[in-house]
Amino acid sequence: MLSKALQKLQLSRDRPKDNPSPTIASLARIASIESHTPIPTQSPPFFTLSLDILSLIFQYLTFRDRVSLSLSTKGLRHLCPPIPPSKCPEDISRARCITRIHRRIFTPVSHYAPSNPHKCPYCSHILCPPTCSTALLLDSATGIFYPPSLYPIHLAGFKYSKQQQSQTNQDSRKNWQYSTIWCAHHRCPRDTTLTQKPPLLTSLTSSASSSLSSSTSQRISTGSERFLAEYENQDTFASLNKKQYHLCFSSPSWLTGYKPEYELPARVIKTRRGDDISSDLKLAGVQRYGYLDEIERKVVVDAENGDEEAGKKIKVVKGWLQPSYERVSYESICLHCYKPLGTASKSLWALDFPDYCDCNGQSQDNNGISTRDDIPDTQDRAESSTSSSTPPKKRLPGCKLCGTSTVKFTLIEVFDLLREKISLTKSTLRQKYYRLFLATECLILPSPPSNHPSKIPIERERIYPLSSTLSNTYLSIVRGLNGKDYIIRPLPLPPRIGITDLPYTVLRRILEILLEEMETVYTYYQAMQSSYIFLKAYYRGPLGKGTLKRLQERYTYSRGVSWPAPFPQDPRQVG
Amino acid sequence: MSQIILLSSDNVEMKVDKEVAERSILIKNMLEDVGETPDQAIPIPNVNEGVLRKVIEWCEHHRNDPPPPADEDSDSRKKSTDIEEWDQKFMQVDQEMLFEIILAANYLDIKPLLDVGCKTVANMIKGKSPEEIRKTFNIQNDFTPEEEDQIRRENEWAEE
Repeated sequence: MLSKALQKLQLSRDRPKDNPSPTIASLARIASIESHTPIPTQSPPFFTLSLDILSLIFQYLTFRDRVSLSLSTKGLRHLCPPIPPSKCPEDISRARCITRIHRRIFTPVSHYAPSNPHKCPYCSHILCPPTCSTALLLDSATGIFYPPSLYPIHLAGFKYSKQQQSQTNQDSRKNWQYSTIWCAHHRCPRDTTLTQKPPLLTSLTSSASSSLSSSTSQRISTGSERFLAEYENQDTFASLNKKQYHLCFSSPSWLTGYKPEYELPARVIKTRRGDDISSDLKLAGVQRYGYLDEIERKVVVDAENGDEEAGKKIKVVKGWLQPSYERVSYESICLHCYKPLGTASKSLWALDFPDYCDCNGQSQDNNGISTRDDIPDTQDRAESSTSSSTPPKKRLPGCKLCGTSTVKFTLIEVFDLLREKISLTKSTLRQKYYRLFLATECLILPSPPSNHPSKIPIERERIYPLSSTLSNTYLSIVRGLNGKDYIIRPLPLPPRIGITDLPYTVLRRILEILLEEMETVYTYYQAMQSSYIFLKAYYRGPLGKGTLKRLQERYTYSRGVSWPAPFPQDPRQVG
Repeated sequence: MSQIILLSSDNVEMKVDKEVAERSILIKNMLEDVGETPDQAIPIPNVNEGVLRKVIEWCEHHRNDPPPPADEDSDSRKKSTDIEEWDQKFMQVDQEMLFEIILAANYLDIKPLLDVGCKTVANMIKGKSPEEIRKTFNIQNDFTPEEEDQIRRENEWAEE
């Protein structure tokens, strides 16, 4: 019996040798022979897998990933073969989606670049084309800087090009217009609003307005006034993007660094280090608070009284470092229509993003046939046509082929100072922050397992930028880190051991001290909201997922939605 | 508990609990055919010692797992790429070992292990561009720029 079984085993062992299962390497070899392309002498380990195993792997991949894989080598082209021209709606939809995915995958081709370079409408700098590797397109409808991967540059046009202005009747182009492009080679200075001479639009006195109105209307067509006009106008991005703005302001703000400020009223500048300058800032029209560090710099100025012999003089200018905060919100966008799918979760750490979209034929006629012709998902269409008598289901993912993307929107102060005319003879500086958004493509990935026994990953998944290097480059561009003067000074590196590394007993003692100080009761409360680590300390150790979920619902973690949450008990009474 | 001996392709014998070895459907069927616990070593000719040890380690950890659902093609099994934490750590090996484990799981007919391996590879592919996939798996780009341009244009006929 055993020998028979062993013989059977031997047969199964020999089978691969006699009639080996085809692998990608063999297919790649055939393709290579056909195209006379040299092949690598040794196949990568990936190609040692047989096609039946590879087909198992492909079942776990999205359509986008399969298209991407099909473009890695000729041997995998069969995963996404070309679709011959056809009038079948399913073929058309599928081909459109594949083209969209190809656009995202391949480097943008040169025909998306304008033949004549455009000039930035705000600073007159010659703009790079959208195909620049670090290009960020400022969408004129929303005030969001998009990387080309999240923006339909094949449909979009430059708002201020003559050609574009003549094509404003075309709907597709009207929907996607960018006002400027920032990249590693161009970024309007942070103080763009300062570079232009007063007066500005918003603060003209009534007597001045009549005499200056004609010159103002001329100036609107160029320079920073155009930016201010767009920003303040109810029909442009500052007001249209209220939803994203609201989302950001219901999320916590993060300290990202410190900005040196020099040109503010002397009364503010004289504030010494450590003083609470809230009231001064309020008087100065600055909506800031906190404790600022005084700094100074030396600037070279011309000698007074036209004394040429005295030459240049060095003057010390005082200023202060003021904290720079940013807020973020997350949203999913459909990669077919590039529009948001819905409101992100109210919970900071929950990842229940909606994954459906209205772009693929929401409207249906009485026969259950979609009136839109761009439905890429045949399965959806089949389901919707067969279930016309039943009530409509919750929307399925709108475009299963193109997929969705999780996008982080960072609210960044991109322009600062504003010189304001208060009369015909006087002008003053006013601190005002112009905030725009930066869209960053992200991925939701499983949390990496932690080696430290106390650091059990609480969330199974985390959001990571698709490319951390490119993400940092984009952030630097929009923050203005490349400028010479208005550089955000980054925060120091985090300590090797942080507060989250302290033992629970120590953290619990810190909570007790905070609670004993009745004046800092809110500090205690905020500490409880700031990190799971304090909650764990409160409960004397690691918590189960169920408990954490309940606590998350209870405290909502600084979203401010349910503020104030029930006040936590005295930790000494717990456990 | 009865034990059996497995013989790797490089002639190393390993004693394993029968219950653990029976996570492999191939070995289980063979033992059922035999009807008694064999005293001879069972050759596993396609799997070397290192890989076999890894496979046995996985089988020992999952010895009490319920059998996989009968409906093998269910969406839940195929679409989710969630991997248990222990399995994630188990699969933190170099690529050659990872593919060897997958091949061994396929040969020994250990479907749950095969699934974990396939999910691991799928997670390595997910969200990556073709260039990143090439880097990950050390694949040579055999497309010429002209061919890439042709691919770019091949479905543009459908553009609105």
